[in-house]
Amino acid sequence: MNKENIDKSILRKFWDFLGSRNLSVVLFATAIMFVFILFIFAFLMPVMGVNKVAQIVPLQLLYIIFFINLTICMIKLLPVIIRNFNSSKKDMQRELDKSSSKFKIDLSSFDNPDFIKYLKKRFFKIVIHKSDEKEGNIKLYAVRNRFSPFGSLLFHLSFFLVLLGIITSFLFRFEGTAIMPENYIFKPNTAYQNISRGILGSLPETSFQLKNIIPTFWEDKMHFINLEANVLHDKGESKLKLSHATEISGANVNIIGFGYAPFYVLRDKSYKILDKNHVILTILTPKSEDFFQIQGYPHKIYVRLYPDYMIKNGKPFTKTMNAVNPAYSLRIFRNRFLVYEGTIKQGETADFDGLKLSFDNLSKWGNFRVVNDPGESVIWFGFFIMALGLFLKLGFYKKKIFIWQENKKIYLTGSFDYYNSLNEKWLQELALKFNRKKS
Amino acid sequence: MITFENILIITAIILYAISFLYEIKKQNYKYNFYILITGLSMHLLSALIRWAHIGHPPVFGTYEAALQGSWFLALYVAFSRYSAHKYFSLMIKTALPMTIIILLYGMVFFDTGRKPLTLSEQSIWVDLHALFAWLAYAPFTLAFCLSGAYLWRQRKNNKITENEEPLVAHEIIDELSFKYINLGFISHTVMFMLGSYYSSILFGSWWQWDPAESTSLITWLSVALYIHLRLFYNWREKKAAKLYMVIFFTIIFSYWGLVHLPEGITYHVFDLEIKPAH
Repeated sequence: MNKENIDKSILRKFWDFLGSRNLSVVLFATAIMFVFILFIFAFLMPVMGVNKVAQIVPLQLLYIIFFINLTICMIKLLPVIIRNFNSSKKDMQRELDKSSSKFKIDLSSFDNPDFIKYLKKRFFKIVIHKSDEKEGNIKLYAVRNRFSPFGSLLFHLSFFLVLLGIITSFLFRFEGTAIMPENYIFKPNTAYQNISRGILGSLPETSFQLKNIIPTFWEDKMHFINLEANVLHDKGESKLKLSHATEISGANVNIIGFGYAPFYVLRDKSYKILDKNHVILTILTPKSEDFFQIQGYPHKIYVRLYPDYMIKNGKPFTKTMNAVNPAYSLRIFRNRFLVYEGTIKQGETADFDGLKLSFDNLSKWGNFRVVNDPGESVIWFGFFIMALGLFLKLGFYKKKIFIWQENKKIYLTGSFDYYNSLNEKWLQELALKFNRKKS
Repeated sequence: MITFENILIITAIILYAISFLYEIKKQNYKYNFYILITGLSMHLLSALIRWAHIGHPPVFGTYEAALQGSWFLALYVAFSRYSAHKYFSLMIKTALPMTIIILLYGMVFFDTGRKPLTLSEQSIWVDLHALFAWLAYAPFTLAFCLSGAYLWRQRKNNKITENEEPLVAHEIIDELSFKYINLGFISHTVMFMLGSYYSSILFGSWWQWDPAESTSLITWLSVALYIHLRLFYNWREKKAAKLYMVIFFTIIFSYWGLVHLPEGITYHVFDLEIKPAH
């Protein structure tokens, strides 16, 4: 054997190995192991961290080998599938030649048109039908779910569609989040606090005005039963929710967070306004405290909110989660020195260091997520093909039924993609039924 | 508090137990199917009453999961009278005890009280996702029962002398088990897809390596491996039954085990309460 032949044989072996079922099984086992490791990681770090671990080089290598294996397996499988699909006269002869290794059911006689009717009713296609008993020429070949072999092809091809979707997402995906109070106008160039986008991902044109946010709490506890944000945009008014993405200018928008945004006013001794603004605070959960600072002043203002204020056992308390009668417990520090501590209602003032702080209004803020991912629709299409392939292959598997005459006797047999013993039982019962009918 | 809903569910458990005990005593007892159907109807009625009270399909939380899982399992057993009528008796003997165990597990160990849904659970996609999850769970469990029965009966058959007839047709139990695994695999895949779709709405991304998704993927990969080994390596009967017994532990864990993990870990991706962000 010359060197060229040896090289070819090595290449051939390597090709066979890459497209072998042994490799598929090894890949399955490795994938199970890797997912298990990622499952363990999910206990040790947040989901975002695990997502990053899932993109490390050994796993990427696993994905690449998987697609190489899948491609070669599909190339090898295609002629088999096409041959299996063609239900020709040759097909019957081939099956009958194999029939010595199969079960044979003796039919006492066969000229029963009911049997053909029965098969047709059950979506069998009659490929061959000859019923000339005297001449010893009885033949029947019926097939059901002829397209089933393509199910396997569709199922495995769908992985390529999913891959295409993932690549499209990687290149073109845009995701941004923005926190803003009611009445604020969301502008694409300035609104986002966080952005993640693919190499070719562009900023969507999405823009809207947040009209209001309406939360509904369950039994006045910190449990939402509804949360809606009403927004105005160029095509009218829409409701944004967490569990339903609303499309605005080609991107999907959800509300993913919510809280209260008090409107503070800072005045001097003569009540001249020094500063005023909405401040976005995480003070929704009862007893939670957050702080803010006003530009140009050294004070740190810690705030606790009582949306429906009342005094219970001498302590401030909230009756409900709704902002009916808001009050604010404040602790104001100048550097490390506590300069004010107390509870004020809306409109009342807290006096410290010659300044007067009041909260004149309590708005709500929402956290909005804007996603534009053209890859997702490709992935959904891939999933649809995957489900279709599985239904075809496993749900509607191929069944072939043969009847033929041999030495003046009539026999019935079948060939099935799966469940041979169960189908043999079924054919035996069928034969019994039609023989009985005949007699 | 004992409610009409509770009375119905307890009656259903009693009827399932009667059906099982009758089948043990009298094989192929002709009224057994009707006892089972009555139990199923009580079970369904109880779930419908709960649905009417809480205003959403009862598919959230472990008690409601037990309610659904056991109902679908019993339904598959009843269906097996038509799809595998010769083995209906076997199904009752193996799968009905599982139905009772699941129901009691949900009732005894978990809160049966009614809670409103979190915002993330308020979607038809979660309901459909849950529906397909239980459509997958029931055949997976039936396949487990059949695999167990296969191994047990095979051991018993080995002790039978040559003159005696074997107890059951092994290949048929084996194939029935494979049939249910395939059915479960199809439903599990659809469940996966619906979950992914809803995840994209809720989180902006169709896949996250959350413990619930990871265990579900392990199950999917394990069952896919089983199907490949069976079709291409001819792993059948004893080998296949043993392998499936192992795989079923991943199924049990992904359906029932996640709630027992330490607190603070997301039990389920859709069990998300909206939180104020800074």
